[in-house]
Amino acid sequence: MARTARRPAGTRHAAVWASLAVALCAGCTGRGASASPDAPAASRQLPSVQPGQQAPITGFIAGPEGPHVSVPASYLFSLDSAVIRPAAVTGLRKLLPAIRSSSGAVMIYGYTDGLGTVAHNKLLSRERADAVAQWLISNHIDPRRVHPEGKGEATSAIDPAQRRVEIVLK
Amino acid sequence: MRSVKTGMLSPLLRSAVTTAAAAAIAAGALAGCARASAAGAADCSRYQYSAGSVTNPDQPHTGKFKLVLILLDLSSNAPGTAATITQDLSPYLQAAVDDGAYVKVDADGGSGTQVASPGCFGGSQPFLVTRANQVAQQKTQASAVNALDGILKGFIQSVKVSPHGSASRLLQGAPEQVSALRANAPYPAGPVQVILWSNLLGNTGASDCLNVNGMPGTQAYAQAIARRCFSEGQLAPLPGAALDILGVGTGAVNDQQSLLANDLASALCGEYGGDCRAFPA
Repeated sequence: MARTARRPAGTRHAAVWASLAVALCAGCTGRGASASPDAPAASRQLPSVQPGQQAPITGFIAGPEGPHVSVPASYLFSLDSAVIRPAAVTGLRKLLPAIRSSSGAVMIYGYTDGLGTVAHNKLLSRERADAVAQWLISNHIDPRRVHPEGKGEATSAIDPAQRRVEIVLK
Repeated sequence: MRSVKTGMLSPLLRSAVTTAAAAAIAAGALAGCARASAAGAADCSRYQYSAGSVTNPDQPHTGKFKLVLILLDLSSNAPGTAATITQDLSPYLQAAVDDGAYVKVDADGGSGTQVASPGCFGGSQPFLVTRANQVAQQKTQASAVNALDGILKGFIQSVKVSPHGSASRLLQGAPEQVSALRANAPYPAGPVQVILWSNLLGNTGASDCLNVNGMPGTQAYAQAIARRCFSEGQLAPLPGAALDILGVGTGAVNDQQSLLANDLASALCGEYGGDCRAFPA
């Protein structure tokens, strides 16, 4: 049986020092006492969520200030956005005849619920009211009639039903 | 006196000396690492309260320490996510070192992983930084928050994240965690703050009430999900605790995911009642 040749002493010592270097590098991670070994970068899979059915916009109904309609914010806008969704235009168009046949002011009130900060919600509600106002103006409603206003949080409670834009014909 | 030269030793003895020297050096260096790690833990003690802590005569500590339970439902361990989470939590850590609070952090990487806690965040000692003068106090408070942010950031990136998970395991354990924190507190414990960081986009299985995979993204469904969590006893109230839900909808790639996550946050707050706030990503 062949015998394995012995490595020269210098080579054996180099192996010891190399092992030492590896041990030092592996042993000193600088992590806290409860940390686990390095985890591979990973993310959770996102769930599949079905689009929700949006209720159609109702027409104007009588109110104390005049005929009004309340449109859910989720119908008009994406989350935290003040850009009118293309799919919402069809419903908004149905409101135009009643608005055109009236002659008074068109008040547009934006509301949010308590989700998020007060300051952010005030700004968002104003931007959304402005967006609807601009859409009406772009559809030939006299800009002098159109008055957007951001009402901010309709309630401090977290209630998605409060997220809406109200249009009132005075 | 003749000096001993290793070259004069026998090969066997020379090898043994070399190996012993290497082992001694390694032990010393690793002990240094351990001291560094222990120093990391000891660094936390700089920011923790003890009866003998230096106090600011203008800001003496009286009364009880808040109990803060931070629940991290980790849908990612990427550096960007770690940075977002620590940024979101920074105000709570600042309040802890400024006003005094026990802070426990539990992190859940999802199915098949274990809930883990980072060093310094076991909640056994309250954080509180006070110094004899205001300038030193503010400086130390700022460095405390930086240090704690860094620990959390590194920890988050070290947590194993599974493709499936939800916030339910953390929320299920929350009442017991709060009770244990209060029972083991060495100094009087006061009001409870629970902070859940989660995108609320759970994707486990049908038995988990916070699984939303395959669900319709409607407000009614979100409310039904939250109601089921409580009616089936999967989640229990947190009496007397303030609950903040952060990171809602993080990583969502479409409107229906965002909307459902936010509606679910709203619905959960409705079920938990009391002082509950939710903040979208």
